[in-house]
Amino acid sequence: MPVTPTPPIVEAHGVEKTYRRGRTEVAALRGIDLSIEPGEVLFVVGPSGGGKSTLLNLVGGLDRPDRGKIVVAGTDVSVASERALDRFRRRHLGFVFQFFNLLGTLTARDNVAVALAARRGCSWADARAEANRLLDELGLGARADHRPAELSGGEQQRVAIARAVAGEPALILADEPTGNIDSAATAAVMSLLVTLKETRGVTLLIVTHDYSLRRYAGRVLEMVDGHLTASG
Amino acid sequence: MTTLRLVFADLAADRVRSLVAVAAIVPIVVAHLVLVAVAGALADAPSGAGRSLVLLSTNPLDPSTGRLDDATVSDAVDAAGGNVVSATPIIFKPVKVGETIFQLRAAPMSSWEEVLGLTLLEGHLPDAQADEIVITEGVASAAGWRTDDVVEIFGTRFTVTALVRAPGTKFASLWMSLQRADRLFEADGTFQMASLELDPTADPDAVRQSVASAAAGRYSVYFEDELTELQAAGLQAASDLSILGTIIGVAVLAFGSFNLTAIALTERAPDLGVARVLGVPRTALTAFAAIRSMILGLVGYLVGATGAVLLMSRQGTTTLRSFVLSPRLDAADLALAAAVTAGAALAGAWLAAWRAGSRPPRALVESR
Repeated sequence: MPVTPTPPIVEAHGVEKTYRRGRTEVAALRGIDLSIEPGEVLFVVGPSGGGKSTLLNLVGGLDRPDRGKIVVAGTDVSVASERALDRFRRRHLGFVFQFFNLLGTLTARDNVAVALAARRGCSWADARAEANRLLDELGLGARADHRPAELSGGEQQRVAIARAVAGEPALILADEPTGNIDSAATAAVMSLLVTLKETRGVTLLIVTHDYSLRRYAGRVLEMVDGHLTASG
Repeated sequence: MTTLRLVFADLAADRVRSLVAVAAIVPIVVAHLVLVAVAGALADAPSGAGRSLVLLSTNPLDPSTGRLDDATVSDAVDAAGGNVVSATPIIFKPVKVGETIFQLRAAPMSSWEEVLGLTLLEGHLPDAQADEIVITEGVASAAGWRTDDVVEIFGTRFTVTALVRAPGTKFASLWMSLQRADRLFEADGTFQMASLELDPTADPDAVRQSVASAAAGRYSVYFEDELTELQAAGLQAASDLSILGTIIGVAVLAFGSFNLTAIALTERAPDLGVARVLGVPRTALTAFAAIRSMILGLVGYLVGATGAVLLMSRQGTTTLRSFVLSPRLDAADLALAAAVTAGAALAGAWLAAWRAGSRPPRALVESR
């Protein structure tokens, strides 16, 4: 019986993106080709300003390329409508930001519950119950009633990870997830992210300028001046 | 329900900001309601008093400079051809008390109740020869005078013996007997106005025409309600101004709401971006902002409306020139103001949120 190959979860061809800063044009991406298999843990490393975050934003449908095509989980995010992109992000994506970006007026539980309510369309009570379960699983059950300002950086990032995996998206995009936390918390956060691949089968695309994190990666690519190359 | 819960959680989490937003709306609501109440009172002000004829020898806007006598009135009565039931001479003078101008009216006391319709509310009618007056509720309210107070008018001290109501007129007035006023003003039997009460079966327009044709330049003839409307024409203009003020109030409420929401959303653009990243549609975010703003608007409305009602219950009437105004808010005014407040807050927030949401999620997130 022939085996049907699983299509890549991310496939990008000839992606270019240029930003205009005042009168200056900055080429952030110069013809990127990329393919990510389901369940892969891919790190994109490189210096700041090299185009890593731009790549992440384009894959996540937060911005559009000037040229090229990006297909993520079957959706061509380079041409999809705003509404289609909203739906795509709800169904398939989890985001982890460098600065956590938790909603400051909500508790840890409600930050996770918002994502669940948005992605699953479930009731608020169900979303909160599921958020409690998820925070317990990530060792944050005791901090569920705290607002972000009452949490440490490492705890905030773990809540952000809980929010990213809430609703079980297939792909998690993490932009410098350890860029704003100390080394002890870095180890905890990276272990947690990699464990998610094992326990939930998610695909991880992580961009970082910290080359020392490469040990957590399944595959590493390097982004320099808008070009993506295999990393030695 | 989830949106409502999130709105309440958001409002509760940042109480200071919520209170500031409410506090910004309250004075606008109070101003709006007071303007509406005053506009309503002004529109009510020029009420007439039936179809009696009034003779004046001067400009109806300032009858106090006129001069009529018994012979002239007698000629007018004759011209009416037996259709006049009674003819009442009236001395009319403006009296300035503090910053308020009242009307001093003097007529034979026998006519007060029967012809002029004064109703005694408290106290007793004055002695026609003594230094005694009665006042209407408008004067009591505006000047703070009470029965038994002694007040100075045209250099003479008068005792207030009664509080009366003069139906069919919104003028704040002092009343005294014709004899006492004649001595006070040294009028020598002259007066400023005469009121001719017509037989109910008479044709008022025909009688007016007859009386007017006998005037020979000595007087003009008006229906009493027509005269009141003429004298209140200034208030009609003020009423129009109040309506304009009300419209401006609504616009201020809408723009205020828009700006408050726009500022709040600018400060919280990264949160909007995060919500977009989570896949929350732009319409849902706009609805969140609009509901949040509408709730703040309605709380502001409740506080403002309570304040306005209390303000008006504390000062039931106010006197503008000699007109007694009774600003009032009825259920329709309050309901309209609630709808305007909620609608303006909702529309302002909707526009601001929709505009903020037009930025790409990346730009919103990076605005932190």
